[in-house]
Amino acid sequence: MHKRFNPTVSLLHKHLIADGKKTALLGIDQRISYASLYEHILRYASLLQLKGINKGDRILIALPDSPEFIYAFLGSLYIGMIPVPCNDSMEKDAIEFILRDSGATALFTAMASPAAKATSAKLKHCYHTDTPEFGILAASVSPGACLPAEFAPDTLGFMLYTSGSTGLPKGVPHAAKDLLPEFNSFAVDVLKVVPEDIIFSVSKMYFGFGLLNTISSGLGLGATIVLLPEKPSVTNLRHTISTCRPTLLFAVPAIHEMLLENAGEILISSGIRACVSSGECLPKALCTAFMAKTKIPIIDAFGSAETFHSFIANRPHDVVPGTSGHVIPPWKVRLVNDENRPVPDGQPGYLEVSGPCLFPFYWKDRKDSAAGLPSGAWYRTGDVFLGRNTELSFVGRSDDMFKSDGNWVSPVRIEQVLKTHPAIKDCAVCARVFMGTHRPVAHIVLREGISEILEQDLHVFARTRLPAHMGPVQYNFHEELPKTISGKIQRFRLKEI
Amino acid sequence: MAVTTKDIMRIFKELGVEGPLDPDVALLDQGVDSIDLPRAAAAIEKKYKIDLSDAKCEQLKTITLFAKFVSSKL
Repeated sequence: MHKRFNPTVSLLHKHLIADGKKTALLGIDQRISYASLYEHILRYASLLQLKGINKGDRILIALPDSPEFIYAFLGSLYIGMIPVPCNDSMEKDAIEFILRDSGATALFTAMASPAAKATSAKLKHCYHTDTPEFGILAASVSPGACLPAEFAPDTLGFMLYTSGSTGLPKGVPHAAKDLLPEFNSFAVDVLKVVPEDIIFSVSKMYFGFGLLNTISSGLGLGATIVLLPEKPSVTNLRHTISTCRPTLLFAVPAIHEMLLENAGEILISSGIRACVSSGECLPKALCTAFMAKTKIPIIDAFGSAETFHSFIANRPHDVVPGTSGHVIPPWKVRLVNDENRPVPDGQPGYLEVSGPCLFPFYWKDRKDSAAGLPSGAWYRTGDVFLGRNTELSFVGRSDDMFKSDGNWVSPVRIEQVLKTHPAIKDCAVCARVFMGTHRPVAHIVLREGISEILEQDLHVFARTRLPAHMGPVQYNFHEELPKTISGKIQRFRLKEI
Repeated sequence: MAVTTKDIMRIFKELGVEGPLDPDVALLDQGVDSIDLPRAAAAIEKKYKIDLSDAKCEQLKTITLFAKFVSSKL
């Protein structure tokens, strides 16, 4: 890549030149071309520059998945600011935490979002993009009023916030170059995204996964992006898929399950060539059932806020249910034990990853220099994987795993087995000490219409499918389980319920 | 209120452990396995609304000891 570049220009300019009339953004009732997208981005950039916001300043974007989100994100990058996407429906306190932590000086949001009432000492400019006043302001600036900022390969470009499944959200900055398709081997080599693709990321852009799918894999490769501003529901997903006819669909496992149960026939007739599941391990049973019914490959892709990109995935033509697939070059992975030594094939180990887009540091530990980790640095993700030859399977989060009578217990494995029981809608497993050792305890949500099930039935079910030490010693029943806003189980809260 | 050996035996029966169980012989020597013991403790916790997380193996070794330990918690 060029030594100096601008991420917005690098992502979009070639598609603008190739065919500016091509649809960049698609919604139920809107269609925006690459030319129009670029013009709006430049207007937002000019607006920010006129306000005297400085290069490197953080710009918080608390907007739904909408054209305005993309204008604000790529407009900020055009003039060298650091966009920070965050969930627009979070409570005011959580948004203020991110405002303070990031030190953002400007905020893009909508009047309906709790962010509209958020304040912080450093926040100077608040733009409500859904108001007539903002529309007049944006129309009044010239799209050609500012020049693109130059970025070096290690200049910070954007920042993600982790979802907080283990506590407070953490800022994870990335270099701007991490957005560019030449670093996106998942989209280029695994999914083989082409400009004819129509990409629908049900996972929102405030997640790294959603941002990657939309900005890098979608716009960066000249494809068309489908935007769904609302929270996904059976109704709006059915409508969006049948209207916009995506070729690639990205979502967490729970959404795939919802689609399988409520929109199987639409998926079959939609023209989707592959579905990508991420955010949580894709259960084997769901993967198998999804492909059997729809004949669409569903790929489990693994990445994190720290890598931004997916670096382990199944391949569309070679999906092995229950596994995460293989590493995606140029990323490298290794599995190590407590002494940091490689584990033998077939044994679980801590996953470490090395690659071109690793985060340089957590925002709270930031240094004056934006230089990244040393080349070839390894990052331990906090996950335990099992490798057989080159095939990798997720075992669990290392924080969640525990030893019972000297044997490793993976809550995820137990949950996957329990979820195949016809009466169980959702479940989570955590550890409790009984008689001096940790034992698995299951927290269960029953399906609608089932009010009771005997613990003994569940015990027999688990006992015949799991090693003895993984059989839960207690089953607790709940209406719902504590989850993060992104749908991940908050295991640390299970002990409180 | 005291918990009797009969109460403990009923719990084991509900958990699918086949009897008869001798109240004074080590449970592990009567076909009760190392998972059934914490399951029984967990079931008793629920039934009597007590916390048995500090129970040690020797305190639950036999039905009689089990009943005595649970009674001490009530």
